Amino acid sequence: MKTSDEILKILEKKLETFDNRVSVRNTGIVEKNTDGVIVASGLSNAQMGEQVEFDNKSQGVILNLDEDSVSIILLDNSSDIKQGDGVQTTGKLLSINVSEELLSCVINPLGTPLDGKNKLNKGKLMPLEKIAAGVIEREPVNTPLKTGIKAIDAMIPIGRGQRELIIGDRGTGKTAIAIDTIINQRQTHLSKNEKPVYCIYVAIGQKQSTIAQVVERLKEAGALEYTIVIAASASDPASLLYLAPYAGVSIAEYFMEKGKDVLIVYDDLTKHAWAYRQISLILRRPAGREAYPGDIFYLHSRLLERAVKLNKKNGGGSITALPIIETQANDLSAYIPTNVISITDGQIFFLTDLFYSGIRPAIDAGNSVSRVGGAAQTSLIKSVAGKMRLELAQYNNLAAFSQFGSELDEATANQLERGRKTIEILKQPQYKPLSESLEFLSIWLATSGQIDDLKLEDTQRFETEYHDFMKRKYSKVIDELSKGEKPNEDMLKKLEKTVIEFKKMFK
Amino acid sequence: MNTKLIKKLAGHCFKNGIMDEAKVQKTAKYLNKKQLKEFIKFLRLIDKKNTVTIFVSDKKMEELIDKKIKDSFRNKKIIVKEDKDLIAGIRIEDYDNIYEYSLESSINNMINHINN
Repeated sequence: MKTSDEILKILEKKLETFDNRVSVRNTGIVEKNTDGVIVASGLSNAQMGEQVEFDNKSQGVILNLDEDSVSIILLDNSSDIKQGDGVQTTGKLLSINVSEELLSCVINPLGTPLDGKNKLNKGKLMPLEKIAAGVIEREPVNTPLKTGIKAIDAMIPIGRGQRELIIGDRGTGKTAIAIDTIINQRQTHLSKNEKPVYCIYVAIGQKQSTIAQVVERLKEAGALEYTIVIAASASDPASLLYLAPYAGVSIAEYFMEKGKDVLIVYDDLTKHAWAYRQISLILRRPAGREAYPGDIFYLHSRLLERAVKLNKKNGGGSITALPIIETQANDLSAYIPTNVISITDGQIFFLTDLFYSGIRPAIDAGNSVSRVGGAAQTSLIKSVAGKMRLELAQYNNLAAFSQFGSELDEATANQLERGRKTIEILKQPQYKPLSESLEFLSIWLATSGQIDDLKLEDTQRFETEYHDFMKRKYSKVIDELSKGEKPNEDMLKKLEKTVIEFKKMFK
Repeated sequence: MNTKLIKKLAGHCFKNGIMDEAKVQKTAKYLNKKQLKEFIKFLRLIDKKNTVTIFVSDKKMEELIDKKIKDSFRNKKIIVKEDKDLIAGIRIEDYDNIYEYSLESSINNMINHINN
């Protein structure tokens, strides 16, 4: 217990820093309240994006500055703000309090905890809107961000600091890929050789039950301890949905400034665009294509530009962004999808047909691309990925032609069979990310013809059991492969021997 | 007649910050009901912008501060009101800007500072 002297000393210390200058307040009066958008007169010194406070202590952000009035979006659900109420500027730009304590928390875009934990009082205030790092501070993407998904790590590799769009119709496994990627980052926290990747999952406009499922899934996989979930659910005001990704990237920047690597998932930016369209229409901004406002491109470009790989001089941190976009009937040429495709460094396209034909993850290899990730791929995966991509392309060509003729020569039939096996090998169950060495083994099995003699339906079982066999009996080989170096001739011969040995046991 | 023009007309009805009654009457004659409503709104707004309200803790202070304030807010109408809640000092309200020189505000600021 503190003595009276100590209490007085604390008070005195506080008073030393007290600055009793004349306080100047800039005030205004509420003229209109339409669906959470307030029009207020006065506030002549207000700034764009400044935080304001109403008489009932509700908070808002200024989004429009007109000649005699300003438009403010409310940050909470308070509907009791009426005409004639007072409002005043705070001189602060909208910020969020961030510290390491936020890890494993579920918060709303204003930093209020949604999981019953206490609100963070200490920490660093990070502004929600910030200009992205410039060219001088950046360096090219050169470190892989392993998703643990064979098809992605081999064909569409992602590097730390990259922006890779996940796009597809509803229910095709977009969120599952993002969650798998977060779960797979656990190994970076356990490994001594790799820099740990911290994760941020931003849920925009989703059902509360879906968000709860994601959180539960992350908790079960032990991934929540290095993850922050920012939730703006479907029932939250449009203003919170609009702010959610910016809050996410502000938190990511806090970790990046400390030299850490961060992965941020925006699930999804389609709903974010809807929320912004709703706000813009209420603000009476001129509507453009599909009723979106003119600055809808800037909305997403300024957000995704904040994904960055900083150079060593600036701490070497990075933010990798995985935005998700939902398409309608696989239409890539709609307004928002084309916008985000042009902003990002590549896209992973999911097809409904593939999904329902049992190919999961349902990645459309033809329309998916990673523009910068190749530079970040390890030599281990590179050594098998090129061949696999070529074989898959040939298979797709042949498969289309073989439909017209019944008789095929032996070489073509073999090529078709190899292609089918490769597709079978690329199938992967949800929430089962693989380590890089196991991914290599699977792809190598397909491309080196080791499983050509197997039946198609046995392929997946063979793969799983071979992984177990290798982990059990040849863990040193796995360790050697996990260094990420291209395997030499001796290593390949050794692997062939292990396959022969395993085939004797495989029934 | 559009809003911008009505606003301009309202602006012309003021001379040195004071509303000119003759001009207001003359202009109002040519406006329909809707325009007149807007005209009154703008007159009110401009009048507000041209008025400075000073709250003093004691009416006796009125003579003391009057000259200094007049120099600071030229071309503006000055109204002095008494507000005992200020405890001591004054508060100046210049349209949407509020300048606090009162003891009440100092105490409140101090409380906020200690609490935070």
